[in-house]
Amino acid sequence: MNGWTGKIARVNLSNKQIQIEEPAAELYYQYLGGRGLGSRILWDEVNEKVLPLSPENKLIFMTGPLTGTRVPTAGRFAVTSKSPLTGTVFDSNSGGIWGARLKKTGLDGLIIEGQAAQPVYIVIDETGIVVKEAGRLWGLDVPETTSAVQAVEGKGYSVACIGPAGENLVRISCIMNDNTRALGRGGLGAVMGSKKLKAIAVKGSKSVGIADKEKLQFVLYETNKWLKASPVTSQGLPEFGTPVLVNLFNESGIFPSYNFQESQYDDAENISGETMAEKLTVRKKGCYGCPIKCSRETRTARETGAGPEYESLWALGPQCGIGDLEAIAEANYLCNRLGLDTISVGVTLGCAMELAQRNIYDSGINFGDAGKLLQIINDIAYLRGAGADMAEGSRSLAQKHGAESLAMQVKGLELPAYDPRGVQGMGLGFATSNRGGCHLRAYMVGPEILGVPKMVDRFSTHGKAGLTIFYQNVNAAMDALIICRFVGLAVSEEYFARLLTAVTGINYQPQDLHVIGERIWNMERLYNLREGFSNRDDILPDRLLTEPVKNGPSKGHVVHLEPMLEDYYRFRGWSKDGIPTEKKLAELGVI
Amino acid sequence: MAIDRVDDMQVKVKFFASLRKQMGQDTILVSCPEDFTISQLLENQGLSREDAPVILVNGLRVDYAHKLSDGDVVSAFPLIGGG
Repeated sequence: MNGWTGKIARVNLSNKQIQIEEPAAELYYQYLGGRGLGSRILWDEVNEKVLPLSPENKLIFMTGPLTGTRVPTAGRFAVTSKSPLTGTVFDSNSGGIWGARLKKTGLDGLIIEGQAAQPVYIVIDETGIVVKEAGRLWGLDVPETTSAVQAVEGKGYSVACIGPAGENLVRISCIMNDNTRALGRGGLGAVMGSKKLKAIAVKGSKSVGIADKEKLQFVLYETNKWLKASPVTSQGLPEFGTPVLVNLFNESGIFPSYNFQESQYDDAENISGETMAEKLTVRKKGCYGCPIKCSRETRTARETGAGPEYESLWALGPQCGIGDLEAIAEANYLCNRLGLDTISVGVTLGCAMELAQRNIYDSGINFGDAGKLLQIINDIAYLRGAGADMAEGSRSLAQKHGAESLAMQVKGLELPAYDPRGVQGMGLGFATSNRGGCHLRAYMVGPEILGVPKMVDRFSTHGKAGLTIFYQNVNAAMDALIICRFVGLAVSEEYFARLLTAVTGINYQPQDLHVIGERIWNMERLYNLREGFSNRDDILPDRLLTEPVKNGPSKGHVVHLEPMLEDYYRFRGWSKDGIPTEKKLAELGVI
Repeated sequence: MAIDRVDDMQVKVKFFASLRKQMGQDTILVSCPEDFTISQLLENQGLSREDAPVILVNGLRVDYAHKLSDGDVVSAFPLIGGG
């Protein structure tokens, strides 16, 4: 095989068995890898009776056929599991170098099952796979764990690990890799913690098989030219990073603040990409094989670290009524060290702050309390005081106090930095995402705000279903290849198909990627239906459906979800109740 | 001295991202005649459409033919993206 290694390792932490398996070629061709293969394996092996934090849940680490090649951004990997936060099938993917190093050991992926009796870590290199005891590591934060593992195994090992938050089964905890990269969302850190798996260290240098080297060379040349030619990938992102979006979305009035009570933030300039470039940024950083280098190494008066990215800036900032850039940066550094999802932390905090504002529940933190961020984030990771309830996520926190409508989440996943009342398509995307309130499944602000690839009216519901489906499908394929979203800002799926063809030697057309994406999407939908989800869960918080935006360019708008949903189910070939038909599933080869 | 136009209106123009460096400032006030279009404004400021492909007026996306009104706030961006 080319592209794929054809081998997946199954590691059972209960009985300590390690097996190398060779999945059927058809599985690779149909689901590619990453999120695609992850969702299929989860469907086959983790049914509705399995509790997310039980030994029967599985953690599927998976690369794609492009991983470890010279394709730009080809270092990414995905982790799929049943989420303890949402209960859905849940994948997250991350950059850095870990994915490339795993692939170069000769493995496409890992299936971690069972539960270790005592904390362990796994070492994978070209000599094999070893499970080692991790007693000394348990309790260490992410950078401490990484250094400690490298001190024993060697600096050439890339480390994916959990921090104290994952160890404590915090439902909004994450898995980190290469110190500051995050598999952010969905509480995957807690799944890893429940298995008492502290870290996985990988080191490999085997070349990935390439079917047509000359063709790959040429398509790479073209792809890299496009990346250089696009101002988005060659200027905006390298120069300012993702925070460059702060001012655009604030000017547009889709920048939520105070737990989505407002859609702009007065002090946005203070926390903008422009200000960050001036005040915090030390240098730009990139992942394995990435020419864009959108990441930032930053410094406050007291510390250095990575980021914050746009989402984190917002979540720990305006979402909490906070406009202190240094306080936000340090809160971000702390989340990275403890292994916490910055979006879910910020949105859960904003929920707690509104509960206090409305005299429903006083957790001791209010909007604007920049000085209390570090303390409360530590409390969340260590389950102390009010932090213990917040560790369960915003929905659980709000439900506990009889105020579920104040949790800005869908299917349990906290909403990201966009007010969908000002971007109807994002509203549809949040409601229909298979992993809950997510901006990455279908990034509709592209057409609706940026006007890329074409301008559409952000306040209209017309045409949004079709576009959302298009992006959901293409993005699912991208998450299976695996390629970074930002490459898609410069080149279309035509290039992904050509790259995939050159690497694997199998003739993939752009349309094939759409079908694969659609297959993955339907597989995930089927999984969630089996878990008991239904169209009743394709919903948005009440505020976004019934409270018109109070001020700014989006004033007066709410999300008109019903008409978009109706179109959405129909165009997806699903029933009126949002259930994939037998015909559609057979057409895609899902059943 | 011949007066070839009457500048009845004033608009605020905000520059973002790399446009700030290019223009040397963040925000300016521009006096202009009634019905001044975005196209004319860009030309007036020495900006090409490629420099500033994303223009908002009062937070709403407009095209280059859009006519300005007194007191409008124009936000000009280069092409940016992210997530």
